[in-house]
Amino acid sequence: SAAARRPWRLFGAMCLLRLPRITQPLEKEEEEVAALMEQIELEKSLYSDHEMRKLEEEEQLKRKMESLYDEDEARGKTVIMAQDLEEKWEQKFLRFKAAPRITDADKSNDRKSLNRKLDSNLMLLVKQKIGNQELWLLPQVEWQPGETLRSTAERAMATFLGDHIQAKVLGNAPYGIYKYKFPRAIRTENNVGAKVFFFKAFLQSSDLSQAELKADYLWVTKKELGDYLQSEYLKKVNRFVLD
Amino acid sequence: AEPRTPESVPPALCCFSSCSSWLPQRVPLRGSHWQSSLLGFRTSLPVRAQPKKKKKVDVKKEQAQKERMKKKLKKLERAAPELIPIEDFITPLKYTESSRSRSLPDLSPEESERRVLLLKKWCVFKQKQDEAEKKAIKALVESQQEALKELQLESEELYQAAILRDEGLFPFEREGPTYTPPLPGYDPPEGKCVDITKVYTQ
Repeated sequence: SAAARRPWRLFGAMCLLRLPRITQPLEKEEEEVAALMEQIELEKSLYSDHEMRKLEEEEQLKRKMESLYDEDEARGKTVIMAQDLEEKWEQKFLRFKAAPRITDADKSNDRKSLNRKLDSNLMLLVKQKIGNQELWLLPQVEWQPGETLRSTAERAMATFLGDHIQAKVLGNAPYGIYKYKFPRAIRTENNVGAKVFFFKAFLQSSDLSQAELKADYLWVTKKELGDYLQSEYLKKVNRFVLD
Repeated sequence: AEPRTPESVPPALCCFSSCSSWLPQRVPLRGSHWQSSLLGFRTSLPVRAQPKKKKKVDVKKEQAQKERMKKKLKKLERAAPELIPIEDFITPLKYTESSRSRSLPDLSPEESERRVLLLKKWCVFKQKQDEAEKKAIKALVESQQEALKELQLESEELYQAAILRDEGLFPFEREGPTYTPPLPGYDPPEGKCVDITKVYTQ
């Protein structure tokens, strides 16, 4: 086209999020208020059928003890008490073992695994070579004429994780931008710097065993981003990533 | 024409029986077309004479009945349809018995004081949470606007492609988080679910 070539190089980057699988632990105030609500609900409620039955059976038992009535024996059938039922249910519940909320990956702090920190968002970071530096970045790839920026970001995701990734990209618009100028050594008239446009996607497939990761990668939470990203880059990324 | 009375039949029968001797005598002959049954005189099945009047009256009565039924149906249809009762709003009568009410000790003043203070703290907590959420959303939107502005400076066609609506995004479905992660290899116990909801038709 006849328009002057802009001096900025364009990159599309993908912020791939693994959404939380378990609920976050309650804060202290939340726990206190939850307990209060339960207490109020109990106070305002009426006895349920099961509780009525339990009360009646207790009365019967007391009368039996005191006055040695054998009404039940006279009837000749065994009655299942509500108390027995409750104990049976309790036993059944104790026999069930749920999966632990803090997984092995949490304990070993294995940052490459997706099973870590199941209650928060995990983001993919890869180590890429920019200029002559190896940096930790969100996966990015240069834009090629003829494609939209969203497809650049999807291509970036595919280069690092393989084609079999199921991710839902949230819309066609970029979520953030990071622009930087090249160091004076390589800056030219036509090549002043680069603009990196970030896109967001939610990871759908939970198992990435098929993914062939070609570079060093990590799955980190928002708080841990500071350990890896440069400060300016981090500032821009923090704006569009919600905890 | 008035049909001949059965009395006039016998002479014809007699002569017939004498002429045709080869016919078996056991079967009574139908000498005339007026005698429509094989039973003999005066025992014939309903012949055309009397029932004519009966039928007329019957038909009229039936028609009148049908019209009355139709009118009743129309009246019923015009009446407003009965409202379907909302079962949640009707407390069953067994819960109004006094034996059902719980007997718990009354609240001490310290307890009620503690509750009030806790609820006030909760208000403040929720307010802070809400403000933090709003701030995060605002930052998100600002970041997106900035990115779009820069993109527009870069190239108009990429900008136009970026502000297009993404059709595949909605309806967006996602399973919410649970308290514990899914147990691998868990076999849930089998059972049958019987639906006993009452369905009302108007």
